[in-house]
Amino acid sequence: MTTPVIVGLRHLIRNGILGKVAAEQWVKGGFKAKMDRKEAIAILGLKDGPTLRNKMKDAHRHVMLANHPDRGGSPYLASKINEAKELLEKTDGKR
Amino acid sequence: MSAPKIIVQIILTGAQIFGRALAAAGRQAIQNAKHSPEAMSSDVGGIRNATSGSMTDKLTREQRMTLDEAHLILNTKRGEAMENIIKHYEHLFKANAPRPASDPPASGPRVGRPPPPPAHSHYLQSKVVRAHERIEAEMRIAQEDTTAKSGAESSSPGQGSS
Repeated sequence: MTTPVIVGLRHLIRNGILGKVAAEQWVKGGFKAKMDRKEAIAILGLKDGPTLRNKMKDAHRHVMLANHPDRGGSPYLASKINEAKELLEKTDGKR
Repeated sequence: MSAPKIIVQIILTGAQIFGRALAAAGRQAIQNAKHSPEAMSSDVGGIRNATSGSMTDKLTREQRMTLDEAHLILNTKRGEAMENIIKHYEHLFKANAPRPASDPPASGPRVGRPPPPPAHSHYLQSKVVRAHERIEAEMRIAQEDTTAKSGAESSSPGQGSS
């Protein structure tokens, strides 16, 4: 009965010491096969709300600068960022 | 005399409408068929295909990320040295980390405007972390495999250098 508890404790300790950050802090899994609005907002680091449209351009610029392929960023991430921006522009344009 | 004529006309128009709808549906179906393979191929996160019992597929299912996608995210290639991957990972991790509002003066050129904390994406950072985890897990498996194999081989004496 106590074994699972011990294993769990050990896991907690290892996570606390080796990885400074708790593993649960990070969103699980890879990108979605098809991007949706929620994912696009998450990619640009935004919050859904009435100010979304104003903040989007700035957020896209910052995130894109941080991940620009010319500066050692990943082209895959850059394409995701651009896809997110396009998706938000398209869906919010209809609103 | 005119009643059957009207009935025939109604049937004809009905058939016409039906035919048009059928054609439109067919066109849509063709478009769908054309679209889906493309969507599949661009779906590097082909997690649904990871159905075999191999360790790689098991990892893919567990972490919901394929090795290909992990390498794409970290901008590395398969079989690249682990140090290189870690270098990429650390760079991307830092690039997507939230920057403190008080920037160290070391980054001098933009002194004029103290910007609001620049946007960062926790989501993207998570993906970077997960990609690193995924590759690391794969490496561990490969290592276990090779050590198991070399262990079986080295049971016979004959290895001089260690």
